Amino acid sequence: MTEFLHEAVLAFNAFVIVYMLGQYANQLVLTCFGWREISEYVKRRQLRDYETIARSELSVPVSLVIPAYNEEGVILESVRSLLRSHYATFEVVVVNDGSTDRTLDVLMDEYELMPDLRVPRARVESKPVIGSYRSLRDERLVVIDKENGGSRADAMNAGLQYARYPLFLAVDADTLLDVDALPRLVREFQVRPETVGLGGIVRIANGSTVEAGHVTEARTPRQLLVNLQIVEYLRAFLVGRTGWSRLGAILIVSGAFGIFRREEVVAAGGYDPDSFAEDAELVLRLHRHCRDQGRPYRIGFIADPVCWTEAPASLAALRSQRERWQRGLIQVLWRYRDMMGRRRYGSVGTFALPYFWAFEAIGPLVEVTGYVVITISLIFGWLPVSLALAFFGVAVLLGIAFSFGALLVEERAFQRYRRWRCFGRLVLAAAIENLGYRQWYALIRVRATWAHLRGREQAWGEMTRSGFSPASAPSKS
Amino acid sequence: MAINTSFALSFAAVGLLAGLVVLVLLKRLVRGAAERDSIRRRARWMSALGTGAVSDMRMSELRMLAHDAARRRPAQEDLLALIAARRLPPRDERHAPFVCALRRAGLLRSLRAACGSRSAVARGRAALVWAGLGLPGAERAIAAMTADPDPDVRAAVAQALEACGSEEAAWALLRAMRDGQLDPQRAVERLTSDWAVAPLMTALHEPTFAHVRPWVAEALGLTGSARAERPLMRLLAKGDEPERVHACRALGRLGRETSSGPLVIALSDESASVRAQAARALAELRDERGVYALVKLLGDPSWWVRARAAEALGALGSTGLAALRWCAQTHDDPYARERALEALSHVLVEAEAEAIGEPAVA
Repeated sequence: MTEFLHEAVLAFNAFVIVYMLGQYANQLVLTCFGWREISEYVKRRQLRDYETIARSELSVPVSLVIPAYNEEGVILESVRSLLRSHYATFEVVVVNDGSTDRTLDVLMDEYELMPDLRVPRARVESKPVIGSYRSLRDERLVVIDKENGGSRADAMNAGLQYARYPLFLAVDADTLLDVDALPRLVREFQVRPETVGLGGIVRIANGSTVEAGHVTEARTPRQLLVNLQIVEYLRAFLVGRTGWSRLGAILIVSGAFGIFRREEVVAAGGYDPDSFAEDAELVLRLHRHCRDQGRPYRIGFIADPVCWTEAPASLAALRSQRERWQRGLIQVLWRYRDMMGRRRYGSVGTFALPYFWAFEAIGPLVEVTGYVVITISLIFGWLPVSLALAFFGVAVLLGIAFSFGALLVEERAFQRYRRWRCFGRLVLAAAIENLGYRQWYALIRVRATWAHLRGREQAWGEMTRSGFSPASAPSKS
Repeated sequence: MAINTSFALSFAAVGLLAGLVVLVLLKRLVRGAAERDSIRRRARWMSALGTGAVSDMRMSELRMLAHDAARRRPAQEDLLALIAARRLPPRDERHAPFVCALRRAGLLRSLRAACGSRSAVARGRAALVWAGLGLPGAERAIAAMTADPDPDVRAAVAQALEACGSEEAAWALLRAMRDGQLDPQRAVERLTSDWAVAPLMTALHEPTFAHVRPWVAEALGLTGSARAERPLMRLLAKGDEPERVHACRALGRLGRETSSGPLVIALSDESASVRAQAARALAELRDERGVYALVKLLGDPSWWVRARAAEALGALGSTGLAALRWCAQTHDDPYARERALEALSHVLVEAEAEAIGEPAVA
C-alpha cells in the first residue's frame, strides 16, 4: 500500500511539474502578447483624436446602463460621474432592481424625477417593470423601477429593453468612469465596425482622491488586502485580458465596465439571469452567436478607458465575491463545454476554453492537492526537504515575476500611481502576494468548486461600502 | 542531480525576479526623467518665441529646438502637445520668422522624409506636426497620404488636413471620402468650417461625387453657412431618398427660417424617413408655419414619423403644444404618446429653468 502511495505521489509530483510549466508558459505568452498590444496602443495614442469623437454629433450615441440594488450610498456619486462624461450624445439608464433602501428616493430628490412613458425597444426577459422616470434636472437621466429579479442580469435585461441608443455600456453602481472613457471606447466601434463588444480596464479606487465624481489622483491605501487586489487587477487586465484580446479569444468582458452593440446582445437573447457570471456567459454566447452565423466579428479589450471601483476591504467580503466568481466560471465553462476544442469556434474553442478549464477551473484544485502531496512526501521522507523548498521557491518566485511583469506594463504604459510610496506598496504587495494570499485564494476557489458541485445555493453576499466621497453614507448591497 | 536542477531553477527564478525589479525601477526612473525633459523643452519653446513681438524672438534657440525636433521622437511629441494645447504656432506676426527658423533647422525636410517612413506612427505624427505648425506644402504632401494602408494614419491625415484649413485640404478630404479611403462620417466631421463650403458646394453637383452626395449635404449643414441653403433646397426637391433625408437634416442644422417652405412640403414626401427628418428639421427651425402639417402628420402610418412630429410640435409654441397634449393623452400609439409626453416634459424643464434662471441641462 505504502509503495503504491509512493509511486502515486511521485507520479503526481511529475504531473505538477509539467502542469506548472504549462501554466507559466501560457502566462509568458500572454504577458508577451499583452506587452506588445499595450506598447502598440500607447505609441498610437498620439495619432488618435478623441476630442473630435467626443464632441461630434456624428459619433454613435451610447446608453449607460447601471443596475442598482440597495445602492443609496453610492448611486448619486456614480450617476454624477457618468453624467459628466465628455461625450456628445448619451443617456444614463439607472435600473432600480426592487431596492429595499432609499436608492430610488435619493435619485428622486436629487434629480427631480417625473413619471415617463418610455416603452421598451427590445424583447428580452426580465421581471416586470413598475415604472419609468425622467429627470427634470438632466434630460439624459432615465430611471427604470422594476421588481427585484434576484440577479444583476435581470436588471441589465430591463436596462437593455429600455435603452435607446445603439451602443450600451454596462457599469456597476459603485463605479466611477474616467471623463474621457466614452470616446476611447466608441472609437473602436467606429474604426472597426465588426466590433460587437469591448471591455475597458477596471481599477481599484480605494485610497484614491475623488473630486466631483472623478478620480483625480490614483493612490494605494494602507490596507495590504486592497493592495494585493490592485496588483491582481493589474495582472488580470493589463496582462491577461490584453493578451487574450490580442489572440482574439477574450472570454470575459467585465460586467462592471463593458460596452456592446445593443442589437447583437438582444439577438443573442440578453443576459442570463440564472448565471453567477452573467458577464462571461454573455461573452461566450456572443462568440457562439457570431461564429454560428459565420461572419467576422470582434470582442476585444482596451487598456486605457478606466472605470474605478471599490474593492472589498475585508476578508469575508472578498471571499464571498471570489466564491461567486469561481462558481460562475465553472457554471459558464460547463454550459459551453461543447465549444471546447472545436475549430469552428476559432481561438476561443481551441485555446481559451481549454486554458480556462485546465488552469482557472481545475488549477486551484491541482495547487491545493500539490501542497497536500508535498506535505505527505516530506512526512514519509520521499522528497528531500531541499528539493521541496526549491520547488516551492521556484513556484513563488515565478508567481512574483509575473506580478512584476504586470507592474512593468503599468509603468511602461500608464504610470497611474505617481507617488513613490504608492508604487512601493504595490511592489511589496507583488512580492508577498504569493506567500499566503495565493494559497488562501486557491483554497477559497476549491471550496467554491466543491459547493458548486454539491449544488449549494449561491448567496450574493454583502459588501460594506464606504462610498467615494466623505459625504456618502455607508450602505450594504 | 534533482537537487542541482532545482537549485539551478531557483537561481534562474531569483535572477529573473531581480532583473524584473531592476527593470521596473529603471523604467520608472527613465520615464520620470523623460517627463522632466519634456516639460523643460516645452518651456524653452515658449520662452524662445517671446511674448508677442518679433524682436523678442530668440531665433538661434528656436533653430536649436527645431533641429532637435527634426531628429528626435520625444522632441517631436512635445511639438504635437504644444500644437494640441494651441500654444504653437504663433498666430501673429511672429509666424513668418517662426516658420523660417524651422525650415532653416531642417524640420521640414525631416518631416517630408518621415511621411514616407516605414513606421505608421512616424508617418501619422509627421502629418500632424507638419499641418499643425502651418509649414508650407502641407496640403499636397498630406493629401498623398490619404491612401495609407494604416487606419490610424488615415485618421491622423484627416485631422491634419482639417488643421490645414484650406480649400485644397477640403478637396483632399472629399476625394478621400469619394474613393473610399476615409469613412464618410469621419471625413464629414473634418469639413465643418467655412473654408470647406465652396468645395462642398462644387462637389454637391459633381457627378463623380454622386454616391457620397448625402454626406456632402450633411457636411454643408454642419458648416452652418447661409450659402449652402439654396443648393440643399434643390437637393431636397430633386434628389433620391438618402439625398433628401440628408438635405432635411442639413437644412435643420442651418436653422434658417427661409427653409421652412420646402421642409413643410417634404412632410408629405413618399418616404417615411424623409417625412421624419423634415419634422425634426422643422423643430430645429422653430417656425410655427409647420404646425398644421405636423398635426396632420400625427396620423401618419409610420410610428416613427408620428413620434418625430410630436417632438417637433413640442418645439413650436402654444399651437403645437395643444396638439401635443391631445396626442399625449389620447393617441392610440404608445410610441407617439411617449414621445409626446417627453416633448411636453422638455417644455416643462425649459419653463422651470427660465423661472429659476438656470440652463435646462445641469
